[in-house]
Amino acid sequence: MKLEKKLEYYLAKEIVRINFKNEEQRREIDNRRKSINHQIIRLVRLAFVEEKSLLNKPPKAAEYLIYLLIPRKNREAMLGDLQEDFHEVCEKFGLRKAKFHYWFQVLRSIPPLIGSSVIKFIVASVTRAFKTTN
Amino acid sequence: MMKKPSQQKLVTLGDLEKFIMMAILNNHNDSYGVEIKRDIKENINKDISVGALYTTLDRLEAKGLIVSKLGEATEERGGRAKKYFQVTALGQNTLNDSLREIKQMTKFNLIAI
Repeated sequence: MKLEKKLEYYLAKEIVRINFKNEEQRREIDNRRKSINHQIIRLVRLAFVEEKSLLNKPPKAAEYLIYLLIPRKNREAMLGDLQEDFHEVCEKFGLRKAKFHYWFQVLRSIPPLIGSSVIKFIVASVTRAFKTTN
Repeated sequence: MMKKPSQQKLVTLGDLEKFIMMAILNNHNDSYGVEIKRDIKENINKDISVGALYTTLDRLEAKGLIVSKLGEATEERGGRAKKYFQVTALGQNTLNDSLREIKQMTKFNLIAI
């Protein structure tokens, strides 16, 4: 009888220990799962924000305006530089300010581009006139 | 040291041309538009427009002071290729001469008024 009680006691103790261990493991697994979920949410959010910022396009009208004025050999590089600048401003300050910045850059770029074209035209005309008179 | 007339350079440089050439040289003599613009903004706080930058770069290329080559295209540039610029030997000599002339002329202490 005494032995039976002793065995029961040890058995009960063992059951409590196992339960406690299982509870600990369950808690650890839960914590890990939570942490993984958290990381997944963070990554998805990051990817979404990045994609969103890359999907933002500069204003079409401004792009077309500058496209008309840029010489062909610099067209790719200049439009690319403007777009890179646009994305940088978009990430830092938002889409609205980025669009304003793009327009501002385009409008500032018009006088030097027209000036250079006019000078080239004048030089070419003078050279042609000089050649025809000789 | 004064140079003889025969030794004098034929090419003259404006301020913006000097700044742009120095910005290219600052970045291991291989820069594209955004880097040049950023370097000038960071060092002397001058915000030049893209139009002015490329007009000046064209002029420098026509004078034979810089050369350009096409680089890689990235997604944030809308798939458009970068244009890298390098200062030629003639460009470096011209810039050196120009900076030396400024140094020779500066015989006073720079004081803010």
